[in-house]
Amino acid sequence: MWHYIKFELKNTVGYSLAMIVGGLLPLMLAIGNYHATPDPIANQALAKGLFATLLPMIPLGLVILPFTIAFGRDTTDGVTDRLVLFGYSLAKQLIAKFVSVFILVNIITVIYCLTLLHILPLPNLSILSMINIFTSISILSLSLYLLAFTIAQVFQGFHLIQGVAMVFYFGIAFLTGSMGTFQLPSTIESVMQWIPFSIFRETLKAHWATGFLSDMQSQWFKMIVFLFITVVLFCLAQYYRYAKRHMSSLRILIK
Amino acid sequence: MLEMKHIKVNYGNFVALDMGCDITILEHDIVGIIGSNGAGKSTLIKALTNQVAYSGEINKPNHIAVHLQENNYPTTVNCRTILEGLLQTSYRKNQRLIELVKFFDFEKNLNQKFSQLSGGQKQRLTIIMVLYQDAPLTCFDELSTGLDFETRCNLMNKIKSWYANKPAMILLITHYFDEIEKLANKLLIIDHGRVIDYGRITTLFEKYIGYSAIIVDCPEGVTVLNDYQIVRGEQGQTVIACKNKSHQQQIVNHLNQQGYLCSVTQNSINLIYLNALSGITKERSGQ
Repeated sequence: MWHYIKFELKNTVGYSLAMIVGGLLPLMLAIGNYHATPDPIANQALAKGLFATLLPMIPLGLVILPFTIAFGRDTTDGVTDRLVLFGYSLAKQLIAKFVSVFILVNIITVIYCLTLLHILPLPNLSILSMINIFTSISILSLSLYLLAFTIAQVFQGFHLIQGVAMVFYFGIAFLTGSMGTFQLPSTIESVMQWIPFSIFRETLKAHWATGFLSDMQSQWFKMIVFLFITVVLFCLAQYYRYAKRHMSSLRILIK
Repeated sequence: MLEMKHIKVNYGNFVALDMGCDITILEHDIVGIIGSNGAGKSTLIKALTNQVAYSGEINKPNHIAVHLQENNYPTTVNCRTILEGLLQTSYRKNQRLIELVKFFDFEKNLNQKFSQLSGGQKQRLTIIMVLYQDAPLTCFDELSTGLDFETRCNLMNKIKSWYANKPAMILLITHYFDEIEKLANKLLIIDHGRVIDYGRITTLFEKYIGYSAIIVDCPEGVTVLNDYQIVRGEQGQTVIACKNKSHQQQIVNHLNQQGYLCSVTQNSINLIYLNALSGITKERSGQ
């Protein structure tokens, strides 16, 4: 499995889109949007806000857009099937791809934290906040990975998959307030609450230097619900694939 | 051993393959699979490798190595990463892989990305990975299509020497019949999804042609003796079937006297194929 993971790590790093959108963009947006004022408290609040707002953009950028597009392209070009014929089954591909994305997301998160804590006027993070950051980012990565795979499995054709991936990427980024804030209809806002970007931001800002677990239940509940929803979507996509294949086998047997 | 029993594959309402018989392939067998485009050759490989749903029964080895008509790999990584990743090994530490890469003269391409390779180099990358597996069953689907004559000949020689004395079963789909003549001992003829015939090349030649065939580069008007049979050949050729060596010698002498240039064959896949399709057999003609 280690060779597969190494292969997928190099494969993911090779997607410049992933490294730009998931690696560079959040860092550049955080640094670029910071403007120092004479008020150190306001500066710290702004820095905290930017840090927390753009942090979930790392798993979003590294997983949803490049992975979905890459997987869609590989499926269309027959790469996925070709790899299966070398014994690299779809299940192994999914595990290796996830492990590689997981490693990359965590490395980029470390770079993001170290860079911004060094450049912006941010107070030191408590151990609990750091654990919260890496655990939340990992759960978000897994959820978004399942969502990406679902998109790539359900939709047919590279261009359609690319389009849907973009809609999801920009849709989540804008609607969760990661790329600017908008006045949204209350229905959409209540739906968007279940994509736990905003609750993660608020919890991180509130518990930046504290060591208390209290008031974190809401964030964890929404994280787990989001993960559960993506697991259900993933299972539905698997069932859809199975049903499609099963139906074609059935048609042959009937004939 | 590979057993295929009444395999049937449909693509929607289209019957892509309906073998209508059982085929058994034994260890050391190299089977050339021939047929026109869309005959069902690649579909057979897809059924063997579970790429398509099929009815019927296939008893096959656990491990099958496959070279497809089109073999694509991620374009973000170099060939060394593809080799190491898919073969689950480290190139530096794997002497067998190093030898295989040298065997196919692929060392200089290891650091190139797949998209930067030429057609022949792309084929060689897949062949290296397929051969490395040393699987009990290996399928080659048009492995030399798009390659120039010299590269094709080299490739065939290398494959032949790689498999010499190995107990592997090989299925070789190709439109180049000389490759089958060079490598295969058995032939499977498929047409419109149906198996036309399967057997040893020598047996099939005997069945459809006879002891040997004399090919004369003359479309018509060749008069030989009373006791001869014209079988189907390529356009512009007259092909005379011979019953035995003395019969062959008798006809050759006669043609030489008449001033015709001719050649003799005992394993022409082309003649087997043409005559199997047209249904001209020695048995049917009663001669």
